[in-house]
Amino acid sequence: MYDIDFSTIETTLNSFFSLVRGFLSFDRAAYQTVVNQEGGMALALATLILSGISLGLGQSVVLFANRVRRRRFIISLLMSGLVFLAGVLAWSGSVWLLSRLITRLSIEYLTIFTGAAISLSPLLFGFLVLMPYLGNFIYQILRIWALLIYLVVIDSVTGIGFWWALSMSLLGWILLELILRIPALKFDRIRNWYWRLTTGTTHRQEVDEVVNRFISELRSIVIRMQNQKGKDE
Amino acid sequence: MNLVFESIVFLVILGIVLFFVMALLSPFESLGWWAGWSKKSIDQEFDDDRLEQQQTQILVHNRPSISLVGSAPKRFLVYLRGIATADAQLSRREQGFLDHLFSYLPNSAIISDVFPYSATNNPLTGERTFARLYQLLHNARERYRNSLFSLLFVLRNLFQVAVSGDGRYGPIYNAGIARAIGYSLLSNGYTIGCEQPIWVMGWSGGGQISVGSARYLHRIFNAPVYVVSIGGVILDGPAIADVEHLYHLEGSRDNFPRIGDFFSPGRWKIVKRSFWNQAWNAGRITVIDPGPMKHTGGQDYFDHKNKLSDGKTYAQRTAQVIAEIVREVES
Repeated sequence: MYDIDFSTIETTLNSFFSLVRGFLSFDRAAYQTVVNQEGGMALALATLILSGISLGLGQSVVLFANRVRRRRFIISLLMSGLVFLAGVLAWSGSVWLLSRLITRLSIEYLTIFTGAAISLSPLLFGFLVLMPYLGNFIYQILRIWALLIYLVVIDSVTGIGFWWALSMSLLGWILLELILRIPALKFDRIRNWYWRLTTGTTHRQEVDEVVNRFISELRSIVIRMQNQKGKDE
Repeated sequence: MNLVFESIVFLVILGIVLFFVMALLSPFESLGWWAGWSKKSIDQEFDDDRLEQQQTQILVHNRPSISLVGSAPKRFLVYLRGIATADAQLSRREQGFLDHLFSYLPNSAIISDVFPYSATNNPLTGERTFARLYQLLHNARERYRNSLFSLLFVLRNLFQVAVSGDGRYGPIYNAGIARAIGYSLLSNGYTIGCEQPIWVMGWSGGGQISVGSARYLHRIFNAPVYVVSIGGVILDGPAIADVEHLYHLEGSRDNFPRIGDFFSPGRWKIVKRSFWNQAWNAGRITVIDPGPMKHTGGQDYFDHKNKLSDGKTYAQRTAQVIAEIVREVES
């Protein structure tokens, strides 16, 4: 078991780092600590939110491409932690629903959510996704690491077996994606509203889109200059 | 003994940390420029009037560091330096090589004032926060050849090559370089609409940046863009689709370009639908062996002392091969 001690900043940080080491090394005792010890869930939630912020930083190119101001950039990063938390809550709900419908197992929602929160701890290294050229490769490694932790945790806690855990998590993800694409629910509007709120820009544009517009602008300016030069001569 | 071991371990760890910090920070120069966070903000360029004013100034006042411009140039060639550089100022060897090239292709404008390892064409010793540090390091490496100081420049610029080849950052970085090359072309009399081919030559890491920027040069000027890679390290990416033809010079004793083959899965033969392999299958990539050149040091592409069996120096041979390619395309 791990000791959780919030009495000073130092002991809090020690508790956090030792627990994260446990998550990352597939230690079942770390899961038990989160479930059984006071403050364990708070540390798991902190890990989840920090993972979201770290991954947000790793994937921040889209914020730069949309020319988001510094203050808005920081707000967006902080908010990405909360959005990440909301995403995991929803995904856990989706997996829980499927496990009820398909396997008739009575796995508690909190068990699935806690497993997910712990398993996403490799994304604390999400900032490494910033690395040029190797970033996407690193992201895939972190995702696989996270999935493996999740499967080990869920299997060891519920005993449903590795393949069932894998099937449930994948089907849960597919179900969530389908729900998010139901036109009547208007999730696109929520996404756009959130983007405007956090970034202060009108809508999200992809990197290629903004760069192509910049190049078109350069071209039209240069043509105009050339025409002007022709007239002057 | 323990102290020596601990010191070595400490230095190795420090080196690894420095490597990661440099890698993680490498995209921020171009991203900061694009987002308007840095002094060299893109803000002004989105404002038509200010950009027009700025470009007119460049058109009127030729930059002093343009290397060679013949009268009424028939063709425009842009040379991008290798990864060990701190600015766009040519070494004597490179200047000698371009002189040879100019003698083979006299009616040309050969442009070399773009620093390819900065999206804002800002030399490491130019207007930047750490300019003085870079100047000190640059002086130190001038004094101690082949030292760790040189490695720092190589690493810093190598990460910019990776930024250029990265699908996420590459468009921004390469657009910045294309803009800098575009300015230089205009200031040297390139006429838009004349559809005169643009030749971009890149040595070492400059090979990747030549290909990356060719994409946007082609779109700005609507002209064919040919790339000559001189022992270039090139990564797979969509930019190759905008290159009219890539001529890759690879000396028989130069293993450096293989970094591109190895680290870029799109260049592996098994990835049939990659941009690189599509261009290869379409016959738009030609690999040429110019002779027994090494990548750098003595007997490299720009060696002006050692001679080959036909009496030409290595630099003359490289220039001759490129001139033959240009003439062949033009004929």
